[in-house]
Amino acid sequence: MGRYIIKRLLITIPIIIAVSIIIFSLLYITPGDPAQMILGTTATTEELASYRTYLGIDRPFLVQLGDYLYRLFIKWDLGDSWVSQMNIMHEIKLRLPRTFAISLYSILAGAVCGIPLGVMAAVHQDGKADRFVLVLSSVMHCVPGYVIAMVLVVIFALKLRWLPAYGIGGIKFYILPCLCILLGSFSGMARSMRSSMLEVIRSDFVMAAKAQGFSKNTVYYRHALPNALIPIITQIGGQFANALGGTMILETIFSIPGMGLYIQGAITARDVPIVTGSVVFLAIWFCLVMLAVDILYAVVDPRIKAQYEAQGKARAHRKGAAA
Amino acid sequence: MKRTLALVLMICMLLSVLAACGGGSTAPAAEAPAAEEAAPAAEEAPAAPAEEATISEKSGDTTAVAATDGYLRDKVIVAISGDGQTFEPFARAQWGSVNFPIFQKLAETDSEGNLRLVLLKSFEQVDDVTYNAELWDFIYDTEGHNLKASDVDWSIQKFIDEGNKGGVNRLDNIEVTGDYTFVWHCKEPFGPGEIGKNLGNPSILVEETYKEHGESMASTPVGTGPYVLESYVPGSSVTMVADENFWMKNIDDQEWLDKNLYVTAYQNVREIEYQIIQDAGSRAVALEMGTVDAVDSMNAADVDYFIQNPDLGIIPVEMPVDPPIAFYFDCNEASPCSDVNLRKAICYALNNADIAEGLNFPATPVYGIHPRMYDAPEEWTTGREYYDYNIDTAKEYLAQSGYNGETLTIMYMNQAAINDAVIMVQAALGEIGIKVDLLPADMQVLNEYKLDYSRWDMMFDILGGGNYLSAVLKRFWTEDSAATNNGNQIIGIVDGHLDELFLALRDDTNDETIAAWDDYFTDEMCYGYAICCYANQTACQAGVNCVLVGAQHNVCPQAFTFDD
Repeated sequence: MGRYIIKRLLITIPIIIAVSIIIFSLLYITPGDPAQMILGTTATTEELASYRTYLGIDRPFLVQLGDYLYRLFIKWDLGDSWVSQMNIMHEIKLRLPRTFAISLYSILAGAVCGIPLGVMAAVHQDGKADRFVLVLSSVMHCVPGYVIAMVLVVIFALKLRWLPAYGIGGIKFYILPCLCILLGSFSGMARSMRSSMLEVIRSDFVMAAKAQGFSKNTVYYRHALPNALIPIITQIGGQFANALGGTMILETIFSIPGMGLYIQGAITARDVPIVTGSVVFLAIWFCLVMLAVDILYAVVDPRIKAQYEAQGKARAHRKGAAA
Repeated sequence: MKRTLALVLMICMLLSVLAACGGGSTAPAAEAPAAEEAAPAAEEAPAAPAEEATISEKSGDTTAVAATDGYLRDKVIVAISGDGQTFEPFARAQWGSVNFPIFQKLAETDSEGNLRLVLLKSFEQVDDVTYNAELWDFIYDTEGHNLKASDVDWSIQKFIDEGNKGGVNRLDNIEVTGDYTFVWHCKEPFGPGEIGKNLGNPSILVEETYKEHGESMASTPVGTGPYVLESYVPGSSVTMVADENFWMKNIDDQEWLDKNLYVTAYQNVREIEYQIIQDAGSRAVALEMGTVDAVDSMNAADVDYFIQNPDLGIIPVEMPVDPPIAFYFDCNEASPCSDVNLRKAICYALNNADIAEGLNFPATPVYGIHPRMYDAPEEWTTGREYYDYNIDTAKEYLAQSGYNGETLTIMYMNQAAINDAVIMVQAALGEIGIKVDLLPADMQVLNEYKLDYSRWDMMFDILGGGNYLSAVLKRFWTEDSAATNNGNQIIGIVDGHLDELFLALRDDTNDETIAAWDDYFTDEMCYGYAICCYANQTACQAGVNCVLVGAQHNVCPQAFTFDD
């Protein structure tokens, strides 16, 4: 297992390098002159040329790319914003925890709500509970997140005055944004859980467990549920990773200065260091989240853990034979 | 199944009822005249007086606190739409209204175009290109460093070095003649409005303070202004408190104060908090909830809502937006628009009044390329003879032109108001048989493709650049365009006569030179035209009197007054 983790971590490095090269190249070919954006339309040709030299964007592509990769991976310096001159790493350290908190709490809450609903629907397939869950999840899945956000703001902030409509501060500022993501995420999770559970319920080992006389609860929650959770773990990991960079609309509505807004503003302003630095940062997080998901697989599914151990033993045996 | 469905539908309906109840009647789309009547324009005076209105009782948060220690109020909270991200005083893109309370300039221009000295005690003209300047000798920044003439020289040079040379375009050099005196040498005489621009653009700091702080000045600014930064949460809020030792309190020259003291130096409130709320709807919610006293801009729909519901106690304040929705043609030979008859046909086919009314913003039709400049002719706003909407005339000119059914491309900045206007322009041109494709672009792409004349035939551009005609119209001057557009004239050709007329206007702006330029540019050659000016809206709680300053009409909370 340890070798597997180390191997995955080592694979992360070329993935991050590839992501960096791709995002840098995409921004390079995107129309727009950062110098013009910063200096404005009244800048003279000489001023623009001088500022492009200052930014280093008048150099050949490969030179810029090499310099960028050197600063990023050798000096671990994300640089400063071209527009505001603020240090990017400092800004990310401020903003990432907010986005992280919203994503984590809402995805976990969505799992806490969605998994039991999915199990209930599967256990009572074609019954009232099943239909209720299907209808509810379909409705919530169809409603866009920003619509949910606005309805929540109107009800809980404007009308009832229970919660703040915007800003950051204590935990009450995160309730509405998390609720918004939760209402969107639990629906998908409930449906996935239902499908997964139905598949597992019909498998032979569950039939065998029933035949052995175990109670329904024991069969469903001790035997079936762990097996049904495996694809859900993947879904949770994927949703969390997407939420890290995809909460831009909610951050706009609730005025939460997180990563989504930061990247969106940088793209509009062609502030390349922010975009590249933030994307690399998110790519690292994504890889780590996926690694955590895979490790969780081994914890949840003993077959995977046994598979790793068997591979390790085979490798050791081959080494011993060769010696 | 039916019961389940009924239960779900009932929950949905209940949510809808909760969301909709208590909001008052649905506001119809605003007509521009109605919006103007309800909210007095802020053009004529810095302070926009609040309408008489019943102040609604608001539960929960309120910023109404009894005044203490000479301040009109302890705290005022303003919602702003953008996060400037830096307080760097020499940054190219300065943070509008948020920097006003912290940094000061040598002088400023008020909303009527009058020059108001700030750091300067006097600024006397010696000859066309020379001015003797004297600072007050008791100017101190919030760290107690005295501002001297050498700091002025350093600040302006720093301003230039950071890529802002255009902001002091007339300056040749600063000659420091004493601790608090210097001579301003111009390269050429100031044009209309340029003295305010040159003196009012660079922030003036004490060099020693700046060098002590270095890069941290961007996050912990220190200036000579009336307020000191207390806290800044990037993307969320900025809090400032009044400087108890503000140097301007020591000025005892009443005549100077009467002539020069401007609202940006006021300290009417002890504490100012800017809350950064990017979404316009969220700003309106914040205003309605009473958690902010004023917002810097709002959607037209929200403005209508507050006008229709005066019991909420929100007062919209109209804020004219510059520049107008204006366009110019690609007069290059390769473009169909090189034919003046086609250009005139297009202009006659556009009903400016209808387009202004059809926008989802309060807007007024205009009839000149940039009507809101201080020296623009009044008829550019009120209307004049040519290019009044006339389909028959448009078709006559179209028939005289060499238009063979080619599809013209309109390129424009993808903003809501311009987007709506361009769609109506497309429809209007379609009525006389001109086919049009629309090519929206963000600012970056627009600036890049603006110089590629193969991509567009009409350009809806942002013609900014100042408060006076010469500052804006120089965009159509070959020599200026050559400096900024790689040798290409902005309209795709070089017109020597237009250049002559512009130079005459720049050197002596009067009714004759303006009329001469306009007659040639607009009437004879029809190089460009404007459609309408739309008005942005700021808004404030009843009892709060908003003050707007500068060409960008930034809110100036330090100068707010209060009915209570």
